[in-house]
Amino acid sequence: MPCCRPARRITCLVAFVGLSVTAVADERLKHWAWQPISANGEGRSIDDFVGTKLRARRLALSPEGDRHSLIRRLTFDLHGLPPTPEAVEEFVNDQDPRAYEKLVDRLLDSPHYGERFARHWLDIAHYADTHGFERDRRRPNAWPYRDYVIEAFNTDKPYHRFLQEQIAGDVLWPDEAEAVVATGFLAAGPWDYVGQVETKSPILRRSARSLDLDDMATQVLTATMAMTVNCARCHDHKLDPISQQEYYQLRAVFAGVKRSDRVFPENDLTADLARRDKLRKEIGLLEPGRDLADMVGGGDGTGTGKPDQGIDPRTGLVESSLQRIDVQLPEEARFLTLMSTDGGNGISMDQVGFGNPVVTSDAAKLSPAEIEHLDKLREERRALDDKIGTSASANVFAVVPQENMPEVRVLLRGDTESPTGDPLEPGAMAALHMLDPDLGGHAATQSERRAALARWITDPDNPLTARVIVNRLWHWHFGQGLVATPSDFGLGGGRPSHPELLDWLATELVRHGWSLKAMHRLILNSATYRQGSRYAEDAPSQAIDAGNRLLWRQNSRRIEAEEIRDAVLFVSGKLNSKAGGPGFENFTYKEAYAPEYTYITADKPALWRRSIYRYIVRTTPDRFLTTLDCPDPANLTPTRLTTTTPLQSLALFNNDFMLRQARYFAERIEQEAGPRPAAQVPRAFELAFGRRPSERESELGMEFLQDQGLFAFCRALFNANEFVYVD
Amino acid sequence: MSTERVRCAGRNSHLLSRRDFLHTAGGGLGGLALAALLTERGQAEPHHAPKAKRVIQIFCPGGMSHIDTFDYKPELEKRAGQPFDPGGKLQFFASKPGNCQPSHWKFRQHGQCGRWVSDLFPKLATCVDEMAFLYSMRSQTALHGPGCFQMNTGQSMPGFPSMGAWVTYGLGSECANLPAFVVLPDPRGLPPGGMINWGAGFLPAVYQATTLETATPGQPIADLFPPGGFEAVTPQADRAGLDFLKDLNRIHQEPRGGNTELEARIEAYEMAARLQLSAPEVTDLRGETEATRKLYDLEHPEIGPFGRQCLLARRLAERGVRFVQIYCGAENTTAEKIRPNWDSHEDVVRDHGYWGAVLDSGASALLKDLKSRGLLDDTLVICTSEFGRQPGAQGAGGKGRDHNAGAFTAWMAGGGVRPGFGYGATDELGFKSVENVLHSHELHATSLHLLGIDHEQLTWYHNGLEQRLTGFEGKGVVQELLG
Repeated sequence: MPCCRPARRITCLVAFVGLSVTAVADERLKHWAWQPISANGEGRSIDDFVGTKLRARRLALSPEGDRHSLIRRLTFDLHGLPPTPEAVEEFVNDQDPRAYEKLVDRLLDSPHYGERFARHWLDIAHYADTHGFERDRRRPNAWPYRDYVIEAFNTDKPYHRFLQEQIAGDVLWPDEAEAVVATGFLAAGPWDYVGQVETKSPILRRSARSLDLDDMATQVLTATMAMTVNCARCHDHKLDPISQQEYYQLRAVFAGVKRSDRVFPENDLTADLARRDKLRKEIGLLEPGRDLADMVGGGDGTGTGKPDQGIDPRTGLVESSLQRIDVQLPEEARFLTLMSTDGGNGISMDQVGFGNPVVTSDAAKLSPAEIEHLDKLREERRALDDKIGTSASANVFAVVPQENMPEVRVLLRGDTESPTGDPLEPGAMAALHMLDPDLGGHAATQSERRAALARWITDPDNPLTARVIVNRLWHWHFGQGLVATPSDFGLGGGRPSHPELLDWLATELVRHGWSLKAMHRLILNSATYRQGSRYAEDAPSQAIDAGNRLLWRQNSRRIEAEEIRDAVLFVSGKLNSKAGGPGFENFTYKEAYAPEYTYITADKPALWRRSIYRYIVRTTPDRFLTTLDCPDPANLTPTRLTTTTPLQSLALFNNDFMLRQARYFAERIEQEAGPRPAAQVPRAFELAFGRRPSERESELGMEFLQDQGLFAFCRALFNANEFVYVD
Repeated sequence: MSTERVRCAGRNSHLLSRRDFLHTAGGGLGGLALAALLTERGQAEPHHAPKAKRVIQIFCPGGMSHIDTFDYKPELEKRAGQPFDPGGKLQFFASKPGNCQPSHWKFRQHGQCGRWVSDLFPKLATCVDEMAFLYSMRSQTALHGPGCFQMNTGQSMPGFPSMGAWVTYGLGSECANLPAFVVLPDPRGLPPGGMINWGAGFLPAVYQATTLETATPGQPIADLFPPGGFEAVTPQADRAGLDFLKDLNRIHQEPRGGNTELEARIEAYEMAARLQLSAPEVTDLRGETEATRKLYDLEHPEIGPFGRQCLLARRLAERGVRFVQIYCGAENTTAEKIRPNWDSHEDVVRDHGYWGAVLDSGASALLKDLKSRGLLDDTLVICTSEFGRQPGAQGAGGKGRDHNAGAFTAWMAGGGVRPGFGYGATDELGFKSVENVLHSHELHATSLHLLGIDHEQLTWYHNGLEQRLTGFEGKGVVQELLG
């Protein structure tokens, strides 16, 4: 992310370039986050660490939440969904002293867990299903990476392996499809088609590419190690001991790759594609005529060029509806000039679409043997087409090697037109003195560079990686991390409220083989997590620690945008639990230079899937969700913000989707509870709030229901504070 | 909750106070958010006495040619027809430059100040004594999407808060019953880069713009009213439902006294109900006089729709909306004949001719109307594009112009801007800004200054930095532009 703009006239910084901050005695190197993880906490527990701090301030944990609150909290935290009334009933009445632990286990075992936690991770990866920027074209093969993340959480893939796969899975485990798909992480962010491909200006291309690499490096380092390396793009980091040179050495790790679709697993499909190319050439040589589209693609008219260059520039797609032109050419014609005029359709760049022009000659005659051979080839090609066609999902938007490894130099003020100094070798940050920052020499391939970085990040001695992920888990379970800035452990970030606890958790993570589920268990089974969240405005603890940094209570939270949508569907009975595959599209799509995505009301089962399976459009976000604080996928989002606005009230009270769902909710109640309000009110409460109504609520509800009907009643419940808040 | 001080805290105290605040809110921002929108409590203390209370910004996406509008280049006339780049070294966005191409419209001096304006803008030309021209603008990029982001957010990458979001964050609302930041997109569609041009970026969602839909008069704001087709949905039933909802919420709130967000959410439903009254009132133009309707040329099939947006902007400003942004042009979507924005690669006369008439009519009407109502004094009007166009022609016929990030003109009016003033200059051909070069940062810093905000103190922590609208290169307020 740019913090400064390139200014080409500034040259006075030359003197500073290349000066490694670590070469001088630097107070900043004493910063807590760069120190090794302390292993002093043996035998202690979360509650021990939290309790000690609380007692020092004469505070204490709040009483444990009641079972209704606990199951609702756990289910939203781990699944992003409310509990079913049946699950609540079972848990509340479970006499087993291990009832709570069993519930935690059961929830962690459900595939909904991965669907929930993938959302957290995709926030950090700023994942979406379009490229973003001006044209915002589709990215149809992004979703396999999304499914990979869900699966990784569900199978409790060891976290260090999870990171290694996402940075260099294709290098480290080339034969494993999911390790290749994992590298979709590197390409998950926005990509500027116009800047990188469409423009003819090399300066603009270099600039767009530079921002692209910045995005990649920033994402990897903030996600895994909470190091804000992006601040060193234009100059040495202002706060942290990260030099500008180190930043560019880090970029050298990624300089050899670009974002692109790639085939996985490579073996089968690659061979099929190669065979098809060969067939095309053979068929082209036999078939009468020459394929002009092939020539446009740089070929000789027999299939040697890049295929399918006859594209409609408006859409980037092969256009099948172009007008067919059949022209008789005189025998003596030596040249054919195709001219096209701008039809005044307002399309940029005056390009025209070529269909699939072929020049044929009557003179071409084939022998019967040739015809037979040709038919055979055509048959084989058809079969291959089918095979390749049905394995269309074997593409993932990830990274592929550039043709050449470009030289990387420091860019003065981040300006791509002002490179300076010698070409840089790939490298990491020397501030972590326990690790070797060397990530390979000049000759290192892009594969080796990424593999080296993956190893460096997951090195057992790296003090940040484990700390950062346990802090994220803490943040996701308590609403704020022990370090309140989960993607910035630098000098500008927050200080840990419980440094010893943070290190203890990091140590436990490694001790448990980097199992995230083990960490969930540790946290969720603690008394600290299980305490209630309610407190009075004038609670004495509030005066001492209003921010609840010391955790004298659990934090209640408003559920997130996607959780609200999913909970509505769940409660109405309409949630479609279909998992995986291409995202559902609750919009109409219109091809154009910049395609138009127009949202529609989701009112059929295909659109009632969980929000994690939404097709996410960057420039035209889903307004309903954006209003409810769904973040912009242009941003890396380590912490979601919650706001309260009148527009949210309008969206939940009036939006077509909400009203239709309220109607389905009412139908469901009628079906399950029958026509009597005395049965309908409690059933609706159970479904929406996970509890039965109090006497007062029953009376109020019955009165309203009799006055205004079941639909209005259900609509009100969807808007209730209790529906969107978790204790 | 006292949030105003936090919002405008000085740079030194900011880090601490911002974090303390976030912690106080337990990771949530419910109280803060509520205070910022649609409430009397939303007003914050500015850093210094403001000249402007609100902003109306007109954005002309596609790249408006400074050469054909405000930046008079006699030298270009002299060199007309000569190769612009004899060495053939330059490569623009989509083409190599053709011959020097002077303005397609004749330039004349206007007003007391004698500013040059081309005949493309006959009506705006009569307003030059109110306007200040920034002749030396530059963009970091010659790409539309990043260029629009740059002019709106100060950064060419997506994901940063727009100026309207920053201003709303800094100053809150001036109006109890309307959103603080309203956008009127071109009726033909979204600009390059889409809705995130007016997004809140990493700021809380409460600071993002509310889009006013002019195509659907009954529903000027999304979900303002329920859609048809639900028998049980009537205004009476809605009211009863909201009363019942409040009862439920009060019962829920009782044992949770400490959580102030719950109260905020109850209040939000009341504000929503007020918005249902105030928003349709704003968009109902029936009360406007015949003279006003004529001034904005509302009935004209081509320029009327933009005139209507300008009139709506005046009505919003009158009612205290803090920041209104109007788009004069859409994206390069499919359209017949005329380009859907200012991006005149193949025919400047055709496309600038069309859009020029649109802008000329609406913007001049807005300035005159604001002036006659005494609103121009404390309303800052800004008009800008994402970049300019090349003095060398594009295309075989030489009728078009390619993108030019090196130079363009922006103008400001009212709100304490020095009237009739011209600042900065491009080279003799209009190829590059050379004198007092300006970027989005100076334009934004100066605008914030007029609003009473010190741009260096309006910050938000994100991704390792106390981010701000105006970057970190020390680019700041242009004192000469202050009236």
